[in-house]
This record gives sequence, C-alpha cells and structure tokens, in this order.
Amino acid sequence: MSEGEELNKEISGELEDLRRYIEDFTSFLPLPFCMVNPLDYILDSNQAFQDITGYDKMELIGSGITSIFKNKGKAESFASKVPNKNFPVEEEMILETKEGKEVPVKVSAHARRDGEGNYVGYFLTLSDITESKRFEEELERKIKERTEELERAKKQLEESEAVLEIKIAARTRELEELNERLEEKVKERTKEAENKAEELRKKAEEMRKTQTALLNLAEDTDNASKKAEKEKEKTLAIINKFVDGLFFFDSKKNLSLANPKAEEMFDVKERDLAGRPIKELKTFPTLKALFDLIGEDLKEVFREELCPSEGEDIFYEVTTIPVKHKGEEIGTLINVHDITREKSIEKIKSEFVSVAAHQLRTPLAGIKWTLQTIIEEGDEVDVPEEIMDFIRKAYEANTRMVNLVNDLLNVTRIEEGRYIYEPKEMDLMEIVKSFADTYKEKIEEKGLKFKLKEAEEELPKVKIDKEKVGVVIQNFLENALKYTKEGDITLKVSKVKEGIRVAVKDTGVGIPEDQQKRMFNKFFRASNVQRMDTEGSGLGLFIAKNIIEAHGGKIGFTSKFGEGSVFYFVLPAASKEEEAFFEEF
Amino acid sequence: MKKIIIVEDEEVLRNLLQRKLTEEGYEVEVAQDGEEGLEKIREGRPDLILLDIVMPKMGGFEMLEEMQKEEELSGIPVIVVSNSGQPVEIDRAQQLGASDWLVKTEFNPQEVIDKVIKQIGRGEEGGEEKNGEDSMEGVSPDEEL
Repeated sequence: MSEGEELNKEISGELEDLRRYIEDFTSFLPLPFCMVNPLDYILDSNQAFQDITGYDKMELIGSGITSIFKNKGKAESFASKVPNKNFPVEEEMILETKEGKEVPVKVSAHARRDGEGNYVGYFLTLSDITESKRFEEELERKIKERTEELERAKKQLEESEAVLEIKIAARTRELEELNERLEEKVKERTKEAENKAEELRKKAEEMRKTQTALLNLAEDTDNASKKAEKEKEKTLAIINKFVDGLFFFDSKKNLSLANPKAEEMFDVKERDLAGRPIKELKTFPTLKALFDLIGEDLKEVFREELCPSEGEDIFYEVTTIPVKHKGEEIGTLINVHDITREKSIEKIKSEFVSVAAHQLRTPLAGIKWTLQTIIEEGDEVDVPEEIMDFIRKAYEANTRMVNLVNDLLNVTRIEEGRYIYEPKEMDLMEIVKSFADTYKEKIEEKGLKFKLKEAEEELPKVKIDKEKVGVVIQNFLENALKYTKEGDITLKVSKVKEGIRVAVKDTGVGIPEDQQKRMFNKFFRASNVQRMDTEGSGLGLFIAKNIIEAHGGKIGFTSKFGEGSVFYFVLPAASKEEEAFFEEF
Repeated sequence: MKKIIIVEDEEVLRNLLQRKLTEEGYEVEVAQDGEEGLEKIREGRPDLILLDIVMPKMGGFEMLEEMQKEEELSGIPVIVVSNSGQPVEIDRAQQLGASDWLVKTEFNPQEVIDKVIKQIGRGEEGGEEKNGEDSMEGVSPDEEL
C-alpha cells in the first residue's frame, strides 16, 4: 500500500469515526433534532425529536415540517425565513403531537449549504418551554389572587368604618401592617419568580449555544462524510483492479471483501463468501488449500507457497497482513500472488543445470582417468619432467572442474528442495576425527600447526546425513587451509545448550567487515580471497549453510580482517521431535 | 584365469579399464551396452562384471534386472561404475544384486582395479574368492540426491 493510500484510509477512517460520534451524540442528546430538505420535508430525526412529537422515525421522514405545528401558517412563514439567513432563526410555536397534545416549544433552524454555498436544507431543533410557560402562568395567577384578597379586605374595612371607627384606628394600623407584610411577601414572591425566570433564560441561552455548536458540527460531518465516500470509491476501484487476489477479513474474522482477481483465481463469487467465517469458507473446494494454509485464526504467513489444486501446476504465494488503525486491529488482508510462471522458469533452469552438470561429468571422468594413467605410467615411458608437470596441472584443473560441477549439482538439488538423504543417528566426533586425520597432514605440510580439541564431556548423538555434514566440515577445513599463510588451525568440538558445536579457527586472512554479511550468499567470494587465487566457486558456504539448516542447526562465524576467522556450526542433539522435521526431505 | 566383463559405452574409459585389468592378469571382455553385455555373459560366465548405468539400447539397471531373471547369472558379482551416484540409484542397484558402486569422477582407474582385487582376488595368482554379497562399504555417494 502506498503512503497516499494509507493516508486516505486513515482520513476516511477518522471521518467515519467522527460521523459515528456525532450520530451517537445527537441521537442520545435530549435536544430534539431533525434534518429538513429545501422543500421543508423531514429527512432524518433523532430519538428526542421522535419522543417529543410522538411520531416514529418512518412517519417523520418525508413529512412536511409544518405538519407538526398547530399554527401551519406561522410555521410556513418561519420556514420561509430560514434559507436567507446565515444564523439560526428562532420562534416560539405550539407543537401538535401525534396524540393531539399541544406542547409549547422554541423552534430553531439553521440553513445548510454545500461547498459552493448552495442552500441544501436546514437543521431544526425544538426545545420544550412548557415548564417556563406554566411557571409564568402560575405567577400571574398568584399575584391576581393576592390582589383580590387585598381588595376584599379593603372593602370590609370601608364598610365597618362608620361603626367601628375607634376600632378602626387600631385595626387600620394592624391592617396596614398586614398590608405591608403582604406587599412584602408579594414582592418577595415576585423577586423569586423573577430569579426563576432569569435562571430559565440562562438555561435557554445555554441550550441555544449547544444547539448552534451542534448545527455547525453536523454540517462539518456532512461535508466530511461526502469526502470519505469519495475516498472509499477510489480505494474500491484500486482494489478491484489490483493484479493480486485480495481477501479482507474483519476483526471478527468474517470475510468482508474478495476482489475480482481473487474471484478469478479461486473460481468463487464474493457474494457467496461475504460475511462468512473461515470454517464455512473451507467447505468451498477451491478455497480449502488456502485456508488450510492460514488456518482459522488467520495466522501470519509471509510469501508462503500454495498449490491451490492438486495435480495442477499452478502456484500462488500467500501473505497475510494484519491491518491496524490507531493500534487497534481492524482486520486481516490476505494477498495472493500468482507465481506459476516464475516457478516454471525456476524449474526449467534447475533442470537445465542438473542435466548440463550431469552430462559434463562424462567427459570429465574420461579426462581424469586418462591423465591419471599417464601420470602413473609416465616414468615407464620416459616422459620429460616438463611435460609431466603440465599433465599434473591439467589433472588438478580437471579436479577443480569436477568439484565445480559437483557444487553446481548440489546447489540445484538444494533449490529443488531435495538434498538431505536419510539422516541417521550417529556419533559426530567420529566423523570429525576422520577429517582431522586427513587434514592434519595437509595442514602440517603447509607449515602450519593443527590442533584438535575434543569435548570434555560426553556428547549426545546427532541425527544427520553423514556425507552432507562431512561436506561442511571439509569446507571449513579447506577454507582455513587455503586462506592461512602462517600460524595455526584449530578444530574444536564442544557440547553447548543447543547440541554440539563444531568450530574451525584459523589465523588466516580474515574477512573484510563490510563483506561479512554476504558470506553465505550463492557465488559470493570476499574481495581479498578473490585476489589470492582464482579457485573456488563461491558455493561452498552457501551449500554448508543449507546443509546445517536442513538439519535444524545453526551456522555462523566471527572474523577479524587480517587476523583470522572462526567458522562454526551447531547441530541439535537427536531427539524424537527431530523425526517429523526430516519427513519433508 | 579370472574373467571380467566391462560393460561401458564410453570408449576411453572402457579401453583404460581393459588395459589395466589385462595388465593385472585378468581375462577381459568388453561390451558397449547392456544387450551386448548379456550376450557375452551368456556365452561364458565371468567372475565379475564392471557395469555402467547410462548406456544406449540397454542400460545398467535393465541388464541387472535381466540377470536377476536367470538363475545362472544372478550370482555374478557386479561393480557399478557410474557417472552419477544418487543414493536412490545406489539402493536400487543393491536390490538388483550389485555389490559395489563407484562414481567415475570420484575414483581413479587404479582404485577401480583395487576394488576388483578386493572382490575376486588377483588375476594371475587366483587368490581366495571374496563373497560377492559384500556390503556396499566402498560406496561413496556424490553430493546429489
């Protein structure tokens, strides 16, 4: 996936998250909220809106906004103001619910515009003002009651004035006091009512602010989701035209996508597979091999080879890619790449090398035997020493040619995956000793010292292909001998935690540090040894590595340029678990 | 005099072996392929056969199979001298009664002669006979499978 695609994916994901957040936010918010199109028809509404109107969502969608208000004329004129304003329009109106109940509400609407500024409808919110209305009415009623009481009292006083003039004087004061107290109380009450009203106003103001924020947010979401939709289309087009087969599984491991190439490769249709878990997909005969490979838990594989149908020479390479978003796994992508052509070319190449190497051996054997016979019988027929020298050189060159052809054959076998033959349990020390005997002589002949360090403790048996492991030991010793001019060569066998370690240490030319990484590559030869001699195929260590790894072992080296090298391998001790490993050879 | 038949299509190798073995005091007959080899064996039973595997007309394996069918021929010791040395091939030859397998590029003619002496004794002196069913201890498979 390119960086751009990934970014797009991330953006659209984020927008999707935002959209969902807004949806959740609005649907649970107590503020009734709906979306209206330019013709005043309701497009969508939230739960609170449905609750207050008493209609369900389906009844609301498509109905005119004016239909829910008692005074349709007023509602119409309100609606007509919205398109021209760039701020929320507000009005108090009476809502008529489905059950015919009348609810006083404050209505706010805000026009929506698209990127070019065209009017595309509006968002509309309702706030129930029943409570504040009722309170106002209650207050009015109470004031009226008190006023009536006062008037009655005044009347009584006037009536009894004549008779109870004396009493009146006293009573008047009392009454005046009472009156005062009453007035005070009324004042108190009025003040209380005013406070309450103020509180309500504040609340309403807060509501309005929330409402505006919400309207803006809703608008942003709207634009964002349009953009996300576009990105999604682009991504889908890419997936559909992709040269590799793609399957996408969601986080619950159900298939959510199979592109046309995948359909073609496995002869299936996405619509038959979508939404199904792997267990069910395995029942499709053409998919069985694939899901046997990656398992029901979608284990991670990297460029794993797959033969989708037995008996057919078709090969795919499968890679699973866990897809993460913000650290959270959102699914798994399976990429299936057709490598049939590469495989057939590889096979032809391999077969060619195999046949060519084999054919080369016939004349090489003839040359070898002829030269050998001449060398053996040279003295008898008095061949000049100079000529004999040429013949010996020709014999050596021929031997190198034989070795080179053998190396090439080995590499071909390795690449065909059939190289290790019938591993048997045996004593590694015995094999090491036989090579030590042969090489001790050769090494000392060159004026170098040879040491064999045997393990102090008893060694476990190893399960190996004797000939092949011999090739590795020989390769180590041969290299040490070839590239050491003075000093000593040590062959050391020791017991380690993982099994048995065999190491060859020399005081030779060493390996330049910058080339150490490539030592086990096919045909690689370090620059310093290339200058020393033209011999060597550059295949020895490559073959050695393959042999050791095929035995489940490890191969490695440490080297210092100009000071010497240690090459070693570790073979695991024989155990029952090993058996299964060798079955594939 | 002990008699050896060399069945080998490559002239150089055939001539070299013939010369060496004659020098060692064996009676040597040669055949260019399996068909000719079988004919020669039927004419006069040899003490040992040096047998190539890949040959025109009839190869070494086919010849061994044919020999298995005839009681008189099945007991003759056979040393395979082949160009290849895949362990599966060696196993097959062993099952068909071959007693040893040499890879041409890995051996010198003298070493082949040594194997022959070990197997049936020296030519002139007529040393003691070795068991033809000897295990394939001399086998040195080359590095292929």
